[in-house]
Amino acid sequence: MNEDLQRAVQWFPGHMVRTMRLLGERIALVDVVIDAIDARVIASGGNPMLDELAAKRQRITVFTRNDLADPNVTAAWLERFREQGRSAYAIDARDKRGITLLADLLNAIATPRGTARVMIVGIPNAGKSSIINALVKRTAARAENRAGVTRSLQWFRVNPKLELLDTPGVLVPKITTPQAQWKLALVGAVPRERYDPFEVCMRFAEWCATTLGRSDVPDVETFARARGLLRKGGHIDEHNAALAYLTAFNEGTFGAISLEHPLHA
Amino acid sequence: MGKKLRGGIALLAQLIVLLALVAAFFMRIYPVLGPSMEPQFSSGEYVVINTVAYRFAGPQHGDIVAFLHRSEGAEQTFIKRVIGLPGDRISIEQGHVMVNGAPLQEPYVLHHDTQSMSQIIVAPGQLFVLGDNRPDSEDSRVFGPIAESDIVGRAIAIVWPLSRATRL
Ligand SMILES: Nc1nc2c(ncn2[C@@H]2O[C@H](COP(=O)(O)OP(=O)(O)OP(=O)(O)O)[C@@H](O)[C@H]2O)c(=O)[nH]1
Ligand SMILES: [Mg+2]
Repeated sequence: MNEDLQRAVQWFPGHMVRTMRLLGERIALVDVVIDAIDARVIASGGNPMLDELAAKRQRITVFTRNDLADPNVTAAWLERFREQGRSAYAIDARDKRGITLLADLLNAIATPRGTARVMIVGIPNAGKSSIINALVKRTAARAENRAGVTRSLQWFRVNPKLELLDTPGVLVPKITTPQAQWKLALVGAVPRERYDPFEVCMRFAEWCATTLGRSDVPDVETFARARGLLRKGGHIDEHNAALAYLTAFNEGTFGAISLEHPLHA
Repeated sequence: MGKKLRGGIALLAQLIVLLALVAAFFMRIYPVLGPSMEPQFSSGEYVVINTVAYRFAGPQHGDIVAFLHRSEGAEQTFIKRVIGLPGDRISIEQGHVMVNGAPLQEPYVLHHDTQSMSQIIVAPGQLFVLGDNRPDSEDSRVFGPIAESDIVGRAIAIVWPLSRATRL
């Protein structure tokens, strides 16, 4: 394992240990667990500890940021989940239609209490708070495009029969390969200080060319020149160019790109 | 004559449907997505997987197999080459694979790396698999031997693009 990878694997701040324990306690109170996974990294963006944590709870997997994922790949993933008998929905938190489907599903949960309690879990920056905001139809939970925004457990009432529990991204992705490392960094699941943005961008551009056969996705250098992100002397400002590149990727500038497919070689 | 011809076409059509049905049960066509089996397969090529290949006899050394692999949240289908069968002692010394103490001849490997792995013994019901493109493959070196029961089938041919179509 290279040094970078080791660095990324070992981040697990103290507040996460605490929250992890809290999660275990709260799970007893909820009827359903929503497992939020970024649609672009379904394979490595999951929760290694969730199977254990959510055992015996009804579990719904929500693929988030579907607008940024390749529709064909999302379809293949949904099919794969269906084959396994797992319920999964792909949503774009900013699009009402997908959310309505999820809201209907949640509103249909019948509980003896009369109020269904739903807990949303996922790795950092998976889009958990955004699902809540979309469901309660206002900006109730703080959502930002970086890992570690939500710090504590918090209940939100959608209607008298439905309550949602937002959780911090404590289920840190288990990064087992160098590929998973750059992919998770690219989608914002790893804190900025834990990776070299330039290297992540380089790997992504190379991957686009070799795996997707797409030569139209620029490398950082080309991207920086096109945007005029240059220092004196015409050299590119690697760090800032890479950060701008990451933002562009997450805004869909290079198109809808899924980084992991149910078929893999 | 018209009738006869039409009857012949109908028969042919039925035959094709029948063959397609048979193939649907025993074969699957998968796209190869990823560089790990270069140069045997390139990303974007389509391969035929025989899903009943191991009904009567188990996988052999060198077979290319598709198998299910569970990653953190989800299940994926991987394609790799079988290097170790149950009972085999496998180790890797600076990129050179040793099977039962002898260096493995690997004409299919074009891109070598220098990774090492200390010796393991493949357990019953398991297989040790590697991608041909050693520097760029996630395989038994990362996740250990796979379960034989996770095998979907054996890759038997490339069907697309036509210029690369071949039996394996
Ligand atoms: N394009 C797009 N962006 C989304 C979507 N859902 C969330 N985002 C963005 O992704 C970023 C992260 O979303 P959050 O909801 O804060 O993620 P989180 O899982 O709550 O993150 P933490 O609390 O930090 O673990 C925000 O900038 C959102 O605007 C979506 O469906 N499409
Ligand atoms: Mg949040």
